[in-house]
Amino acid sequence: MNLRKIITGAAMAGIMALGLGGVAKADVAQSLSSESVIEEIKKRGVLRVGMSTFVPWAMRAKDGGLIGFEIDVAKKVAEDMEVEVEFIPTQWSGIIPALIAKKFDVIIGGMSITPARNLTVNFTIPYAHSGQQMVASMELADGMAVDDFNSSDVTIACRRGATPCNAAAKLFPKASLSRFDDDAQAFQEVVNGNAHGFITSAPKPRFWMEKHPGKLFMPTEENLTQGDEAFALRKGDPDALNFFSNWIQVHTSNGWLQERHDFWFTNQNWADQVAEN
Amino acid sequence: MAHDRPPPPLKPKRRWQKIDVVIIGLAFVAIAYVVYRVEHVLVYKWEWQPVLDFVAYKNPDTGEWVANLLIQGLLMTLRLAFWGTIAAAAIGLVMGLCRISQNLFLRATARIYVELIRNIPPIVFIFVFYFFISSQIMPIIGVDDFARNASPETASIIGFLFSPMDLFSNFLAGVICLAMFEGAYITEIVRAGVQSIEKGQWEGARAIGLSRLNVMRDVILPQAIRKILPPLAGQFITLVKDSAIVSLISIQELTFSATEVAATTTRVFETWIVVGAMYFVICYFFAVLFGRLEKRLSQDRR
Amino acid sequence: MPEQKMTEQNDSRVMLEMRGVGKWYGDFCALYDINLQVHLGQRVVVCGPSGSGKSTMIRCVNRLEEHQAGHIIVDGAELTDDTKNIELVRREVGMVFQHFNLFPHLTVLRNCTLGPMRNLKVPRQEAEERAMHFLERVRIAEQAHKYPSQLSGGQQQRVAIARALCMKPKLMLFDEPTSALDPEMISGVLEVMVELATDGMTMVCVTHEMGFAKQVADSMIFMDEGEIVEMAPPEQFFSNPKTDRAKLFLSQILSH
Repeated sequence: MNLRKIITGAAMAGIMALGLGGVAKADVAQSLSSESVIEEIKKRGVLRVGMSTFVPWAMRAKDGGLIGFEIDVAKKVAEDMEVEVEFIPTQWSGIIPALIAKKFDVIIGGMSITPARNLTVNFTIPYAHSGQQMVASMELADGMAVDDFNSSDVTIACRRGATPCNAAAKLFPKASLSRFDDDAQAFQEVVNGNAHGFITSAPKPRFWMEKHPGKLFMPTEENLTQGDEAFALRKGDPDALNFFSNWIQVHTSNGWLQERHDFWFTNQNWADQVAEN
Repeated sequence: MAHDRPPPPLKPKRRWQKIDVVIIGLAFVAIAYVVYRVEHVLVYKWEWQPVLDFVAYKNPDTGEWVANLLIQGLLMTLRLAFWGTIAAAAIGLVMGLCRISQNLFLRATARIYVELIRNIPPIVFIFVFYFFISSQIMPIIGVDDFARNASPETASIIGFLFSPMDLFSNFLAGVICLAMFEGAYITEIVRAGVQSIEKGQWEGARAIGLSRLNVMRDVILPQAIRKILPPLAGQFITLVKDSAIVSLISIQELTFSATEVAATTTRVFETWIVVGAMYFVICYFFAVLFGRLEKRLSQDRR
Repeated sequence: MPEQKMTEQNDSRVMLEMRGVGKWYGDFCALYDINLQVHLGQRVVVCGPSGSGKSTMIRCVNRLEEHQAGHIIVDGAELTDDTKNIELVRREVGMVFQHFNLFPHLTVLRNCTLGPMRNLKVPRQEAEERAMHFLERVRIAEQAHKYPSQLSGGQQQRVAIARALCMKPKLMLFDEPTSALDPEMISGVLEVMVELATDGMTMVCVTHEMGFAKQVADSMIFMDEGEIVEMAPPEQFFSNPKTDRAKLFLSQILSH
């Protein structure tokens, strides 16, 4: 929504004007490193992570606790830093302003790198490569190929303010978009036959198709777009950027990230941990 | 003789008119139609259990029932509403009195405050104000340091009364936001209440030599409070519902918990229906409570 | 001539002095060049047609209205903008209103104790004893624990008088105390006022009760259009008013 974008923009401009004024003055390298969030985390003994609930990146377990791919990632980061981890669940639309306002140290929230976002925050190297997938309604779109969705008769549902809506707009410029606050609502539109297709990050579309056989199908098993998810940090902190990027590099090389990713993304063997059905 | 007179004539009981039957019939048809649509046309498999598990769940090891996310969210909403109301009432009282002060500066300050807040969408206000106070003011007061270094006893007291220690500064910011916001409306309620007290009360009190402050405290406010209680109750209930806007700023209140539960379970409708019912129950509870209080106050002194 | 009466008391204390007092509401002149002296123990009754400025005049005495010209001196203290001074004057001047202005949320007793407890810092028990004393004087002690709305108009007005007396005022102002009462309630209030007068209370009383005036007044003041038109002892004023306006007024009011 436009209003929300304007608000977010205005809030961020204000925060940056207030917050970054101090950083601009600190042009000495030494002061940069001593002011690095890494030092702060070690001193505090707690790594504060901003995230947003998003299956299977971060979910609520039956007992209300947090589980998921990036919960594992954040816990591992904290373990390697020898500090405690503290999760701060935040609504997606407020997550970047909250980072800039120092509500937490880093966003580990399945955030895809985009140039627009990169103007306000710094990204590490990617720790996951998920893409966008589409699931479609058998009732409305049976037999349609991917290209057939680029038509003015087609309605595509997606979650607002996130990568999927941008991907949908780019891939299917002629189709009309229905934007929703969260994936579940958008998904319901397809099940109800109000939208032809629904685009969101893998692997949700596949999980949903498996759950509703005969109602939903995937026009293609391929990812429609390739995403690069990375940690997001406040600007002006090279030490932290270096630390987190190298942490990702190390755990990519030793296969830990891939192993965890496979556990959460390739199947739903973890399903009994969450309350999902 | 007066006591020989007959009792008052019985009021004839109101009968059901044809139109009542028709209207109620139509209402039933409408409800039935909606249920039919939901059941047969909307492709939706209702599943309540996953959502209900997030209200409270049975720990399989101990067999104890544990309050889960939604109850915790509800408690957080209540804490927000409780502290928010106290702070908003304080702001509203002070600002309301400033609004009718003889001092131009105080009057202007209160006026600007009220107009500013009433004419800005709540979401904008919360967003800007929250990020300003929490990023600029909280570190100055040292709330975060206090929260981190608190002893376990302090932490558990604060955890019970306010919020978990790690979110204490968020909570504080959220309460201040809500209080600032609702305070503007209470300011106007207080002003209207005080101004509704007839001039004779002021004169009667001034004539026995009471100072302005004493007139206000002993004569005007006690009477004004009874007049402002109904709109104040309405405002309090509004505050309970408005507290949902601070979910934008990562306070784990009921609406925020609901978005998380809905995202995790994918049971959107069930989640919001359950949460809606929870809001209804607490708001209705307060409506009844205030109704009682109002009745008692009016019986008390008239 | 009013001076005859005044000279008798010239040596006693002047409780209220108004010199050249004027008051305007916008362009409308409500009071013009009011000159008046009230001595200790003197009882002045003010009458005149409605809108003649009687109420405005006595409301200026405890500054419920602000005068814009001239001087008002109450027991030696001049009324100025000084708030402290105004509050002091108000403690010495009791006022009874047409519409009682009792505090509906307080019992009769609390209505009477509020002033002494707040202003004079009288302890509660003493304030209550004092309140009961004055409530007995106005013959309403048995109603002490009721709320004003449970009383008749006449009873309420008597409570209002007791409330004013509890401050032990040196001067009492009455602003049409019986005008809002049902006819059968009036005598009870007037009785109390007569008793007060007999006990020597200094009073300025705006009223149309001419019987009361004849009975207690030392001095009658007749006002019209914001001015004091006549000032005379009652026997002289009633039998031989000097101005046509006073004659007309008396003929209207006494023909009732």
